[in-house]
Amino acid sequence: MTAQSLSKNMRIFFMLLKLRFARLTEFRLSFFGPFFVDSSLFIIQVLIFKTIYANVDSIGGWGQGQMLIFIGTFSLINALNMILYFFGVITIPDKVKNGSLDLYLTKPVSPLFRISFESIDPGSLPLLLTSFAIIGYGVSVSAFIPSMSQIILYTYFVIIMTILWYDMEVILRSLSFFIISVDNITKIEAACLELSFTVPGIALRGFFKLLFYFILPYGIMATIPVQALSGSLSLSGAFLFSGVVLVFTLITALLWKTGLRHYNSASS
Amino acid sequence: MKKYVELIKINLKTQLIWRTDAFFSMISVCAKMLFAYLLWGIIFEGKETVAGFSYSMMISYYVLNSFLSSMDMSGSISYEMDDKIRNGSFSKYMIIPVLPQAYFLCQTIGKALFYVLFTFTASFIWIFIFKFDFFITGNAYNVFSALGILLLGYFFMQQFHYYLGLLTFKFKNIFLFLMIKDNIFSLISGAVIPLVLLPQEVISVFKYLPFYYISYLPTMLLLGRNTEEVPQALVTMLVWVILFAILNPSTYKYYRTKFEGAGI
Repeated sequence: MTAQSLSKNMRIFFMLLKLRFARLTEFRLSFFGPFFVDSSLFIIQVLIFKTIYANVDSIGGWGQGQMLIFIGTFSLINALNMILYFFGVITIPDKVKNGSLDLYLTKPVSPLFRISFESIDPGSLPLLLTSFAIIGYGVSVSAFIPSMSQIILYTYFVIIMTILWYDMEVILRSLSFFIISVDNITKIEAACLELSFTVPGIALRGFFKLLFYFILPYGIMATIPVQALSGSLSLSGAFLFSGVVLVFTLITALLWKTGLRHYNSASS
Repeated sequence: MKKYVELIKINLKTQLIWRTDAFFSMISVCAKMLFAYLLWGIIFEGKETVAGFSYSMMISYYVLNSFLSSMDMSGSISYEMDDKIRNGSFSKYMIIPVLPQAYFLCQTIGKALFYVLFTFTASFIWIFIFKFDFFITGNAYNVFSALGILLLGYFFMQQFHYYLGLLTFKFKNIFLFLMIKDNIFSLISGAVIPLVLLPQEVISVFKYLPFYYISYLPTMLLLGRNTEEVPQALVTMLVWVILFAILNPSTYKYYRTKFEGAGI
């Protein structure tokens, strides 16, 4: 991507943000809705693990602090997902089915870029504060103080895992180019996300580790950043999981491109 | 009575059209059990018991609880009412010669009768896949008490979700509230972790609420535990059922006048 096209995309991004903000303020009551729903989910998750830790000392070698950081990190990546692209990406199947994708194909901007970022949700911004509060609490009760390099590595992994979450969302919804309905596939996505958010990757063994680390890589999304922050991630592990994100990003781009070629434009 | 039996039959037949949905609801039940298998598997490494539960008993808890809680199909009532009141199609329930609450009760029973086979299969397939010692009590008192409390619990949940749905007349959109309710309910109903792990003071408060008795206590009874709580459970559930049996008709009568019938 050249500097010129990056600058163009950034201008489009801020314009989409402005338009979205104007639209959302029309519905003030539901403005903070996603924040309340997701906050309740993550706070309950914290309570569940605090209850489990009242009965055991560690889970797979992780103390209470690391588990809280895990929940906070999952909440953080979910918050970034909700703020930036979730409400846009989920509209892909409908746009393919009813033909309204046509409008996006005729505009002088990447259709996927516009769909992804036209429904930015500022109402989920407070979820970032909730996530940082959980992470901060986790660090305060854990036995380690992260170094600057560990914090940088953690930030790097949070960013690329947000990209991985985006990749998975787009991959599953791009299947709507090839099949009639992806409703049930998104149910599997919800089940995988629920599982990965309640069971940290360190609890996975054998087949399940292979499945949730490399085939449906939901299991690495919050686990790897926590391992980076606590210093338990090896250099080879860092390269391996960066590679996993790269592979899934390439698959996303390829599937979207192939899907567009397959698109029949239902409305015309 | 005949018309209600017909309604149950119609709703049962309707489910046959959505067979794939039933399959995916099986996956959801399986995901809950997989969560238990993976998480408690690592927690129990090097431990014989946690909070008085052995590993087999803990997994048995999740198998039974997933099955019993998935049989409560009433959750969709509130979402359906929320949608239908807002788009105006709720008016059909106001003109047919059936009470709206009874209609939704029949719908729930029809759905549950269809799903029972799928969730039963999903629940018990795990016992064979993961080869653990599945535990269930042989005590007839516990089994019949669990069944009685379950029926009261399912009926209460139907009343409760109908009541929440009625609130749409007043608040116009209760979707977000319902999602938050679902999150809280997963904790206080014992669907995510056995409530016995919570502090005793919290459990004492929960015992006055109906949610403790929906699937948690019946599961514990089927595991041969908490037998002494049966009388209190029956009394508490009866009180809640009677309370909502009074509350629901009066709320419907009061709020139905606020219905604008958008789209009629």
